[in-house]
Amino acid sequence: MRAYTGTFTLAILALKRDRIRLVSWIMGIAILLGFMVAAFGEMLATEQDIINMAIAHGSNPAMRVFLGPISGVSLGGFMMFRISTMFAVMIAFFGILTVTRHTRHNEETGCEELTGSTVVGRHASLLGALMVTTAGNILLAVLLALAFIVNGHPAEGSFAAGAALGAVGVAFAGVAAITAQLAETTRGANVLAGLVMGAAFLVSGVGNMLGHFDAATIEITSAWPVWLSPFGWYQQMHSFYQNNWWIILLFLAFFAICVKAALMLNSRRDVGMGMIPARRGPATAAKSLLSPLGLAWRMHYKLFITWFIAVLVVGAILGGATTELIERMRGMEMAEILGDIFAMSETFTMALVAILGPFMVFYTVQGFLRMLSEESEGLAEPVLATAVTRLKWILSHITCFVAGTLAVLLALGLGASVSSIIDPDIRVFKLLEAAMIQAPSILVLAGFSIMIYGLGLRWSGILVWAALIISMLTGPFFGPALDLPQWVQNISPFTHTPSVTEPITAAPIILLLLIAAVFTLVGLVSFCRRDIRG
Amino acid sequence: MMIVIKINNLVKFYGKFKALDGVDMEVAEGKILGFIGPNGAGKTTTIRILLGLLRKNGGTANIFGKDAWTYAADLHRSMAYVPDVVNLWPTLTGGEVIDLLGKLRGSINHQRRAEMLKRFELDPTKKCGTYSRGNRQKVALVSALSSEAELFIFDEPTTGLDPLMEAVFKECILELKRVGKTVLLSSHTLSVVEKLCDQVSIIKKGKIVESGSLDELRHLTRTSISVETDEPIIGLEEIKGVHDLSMDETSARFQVESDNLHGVLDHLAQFGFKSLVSRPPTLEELFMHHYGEMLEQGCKGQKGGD
Repeated sequence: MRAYTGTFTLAILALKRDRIRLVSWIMGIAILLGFMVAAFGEMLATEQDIINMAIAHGSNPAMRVFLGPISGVSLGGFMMFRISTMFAVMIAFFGILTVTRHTRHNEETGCEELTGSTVVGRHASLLGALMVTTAGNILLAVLLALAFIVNGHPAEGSFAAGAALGAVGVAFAGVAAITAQLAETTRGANVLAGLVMGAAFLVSGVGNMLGHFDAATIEITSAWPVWLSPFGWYQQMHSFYQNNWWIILLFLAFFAICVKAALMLNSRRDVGMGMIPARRGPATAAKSLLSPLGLAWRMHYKLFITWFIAVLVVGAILGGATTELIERMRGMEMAEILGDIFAMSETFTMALVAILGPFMVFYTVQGFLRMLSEESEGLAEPVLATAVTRLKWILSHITCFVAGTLAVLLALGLGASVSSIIDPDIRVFKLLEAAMIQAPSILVLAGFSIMIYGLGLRWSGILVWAALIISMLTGPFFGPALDLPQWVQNISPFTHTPSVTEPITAAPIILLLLIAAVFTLVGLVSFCRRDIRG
Repeated sequence: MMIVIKINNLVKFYGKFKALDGVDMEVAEGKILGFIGPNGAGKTTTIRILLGLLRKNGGTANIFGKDAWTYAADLHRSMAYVPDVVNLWPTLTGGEVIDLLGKLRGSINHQRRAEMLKRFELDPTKKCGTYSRGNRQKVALVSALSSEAELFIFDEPTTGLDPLMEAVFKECILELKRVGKTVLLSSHTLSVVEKLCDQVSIIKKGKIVESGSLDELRHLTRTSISVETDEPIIGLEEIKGVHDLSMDETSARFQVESDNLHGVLDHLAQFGFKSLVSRPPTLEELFMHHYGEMLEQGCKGQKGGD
């Protein structure tokens, strides 16, 4: 038996296990891109619109951290500049999560031992996972290219863009192949790979920031650090402009090195063990842990702190960029179209906060999933077998992710308040108000997820994600752009959030909070009456 | 004497599947009840109803005279539970979990905690994610055994333990008994049950098919006899209640139903005993009796016991 025996069989097994998950990821990303390309296409009707927007964003070094370089005036090129980084991050996550799921996670759950004892080689599981992930990313690349093509973009540029983004997924699959050998747990492997991704993102961002923007040719020449990061590589393909296909070779070489390293590590360790030994901890518990809330907080705090800091930073960068952006926007065609919003920098910053606010619901849902996994991993049982009531248990978790949501919204407002340092006309409390007014609609989704959970439905997690995506797509961020009928848009709680540019009315807020409360109550009552999964 | 656990005609459905079909059980204070039965017979379901984790569909399940569902959290103050599969928070250390569960239960005896850690040879500084199955079980055992509970429920507590640790566990249970605690012990390790338990309940397909003290149960089945005599044995095969006979001229091995033991010995006495070894049935034989033979005989007329 060779080390590779059974690779194909395991790849097929992984495909079978994951067919729904893979299709959802791939289709989800491709469809989202299609929508966004269409939406921007409608918004930026003329070449001048593109130039204006490109100058507004590209000339701001702070903004360049989060964007790609731009090259020439084309809508496709603008998309690669403006929104491609968001997709690259999603695709990198897709690559990482798929690889760890079929390698380290199998070892953790013991499935690996089961398959490993049959006729499969020691590398089969790892290679099978990489095979599935690579195939998934190739399919994704084609679909992304189609998303551009159906919106009328040139074919070569579309395929270059799709390949560039798909290659990012493959590169981080390679990274995850290594971290899956290093860490002993799936979460650990994901966190390590995520850190590599974060660093890579920052390196390419800094490269773009330090680069040079030429307003005459609408071109950003990136500085050398971009060549150190897969995120930099995909951007340097300059799709829809130069289409530097040779960069794909760079990705292939990187992937090959990662796989080689992962295989080397894999042959030097035992099944179930990692390379980085798990750290030891305290022999006795701190007082702060010794309550249902203390325990729940321990399960939530890493997620919370990560979000809090990230949102604070993003808020600050946007807040800092606002004032400069407005200076440049003044007198441009765009500003006239969008009207009064740009009249005052305070209103503009508030509007920015209001656009970002609803996205904090992703934290809410992630926090909710923590609670869900506590029960599905059998960790609710040991607590509920003590003198802790069900109500107390569930409320501890709800407190963590609901209070966490409010704090993350606050962080957004606080971060954006950096703008008031630059522009004293901007009042901090108005920005905090703009952030906090997003809370009621987020709480409706939180309440909905609590209800689903309380009822103990089988696909709770998927149902909650579906509710979130539907609320987003029918909400103000996409609904009007997609020209949805008003009754469809009314499905989304976000449609009912009071606008920050007008005087706030209490009625919709009270109504949203009332709906959230009813959902929550139904969830709590059902939870106290149902069976606990063991 | 106070009745600690009292279950009456307990019924539980999972969808259409009837997991418990009228379970009865009674455990008096200070007693150890062995709860045995094959996989899927309903042991864990019964236990999880007793813990208020599952909702019953019929019958009663009381602990200390109070309903196990309604008063779950209150009752748990005086209960300690070790589940069959021990799941722990991977990022907490064993020591943290022991303290946490102790505190949430309401009581922890720090002296016993230290003693138990030593006896079970458990390193409390390791993260639970890195413990082996046996070590996770030890965490749950140490936590339960260092509590001040009155009722202890163990669901398959020895499956992941090595023989040495199994011995430690047995000692601990006997110590609990000495200080008057009540124990419900579900286990496949019949030797453990046999050694520790005052009473045994055998569950099958959601019904208790046998319950009572081991001595009582033994009467329901056969005793193994091996005998050597001075003179050749004759006529043994014709005596009622003798099974699995194998014999030479002056020696015989067979099993005899307990009710016929007297007659058999009388018959054998006429040949003059050289040696006589009689062994009461082991729990394993009792168990096999119910799950092996009963299946073969189509469960006919074997429902003695209560």
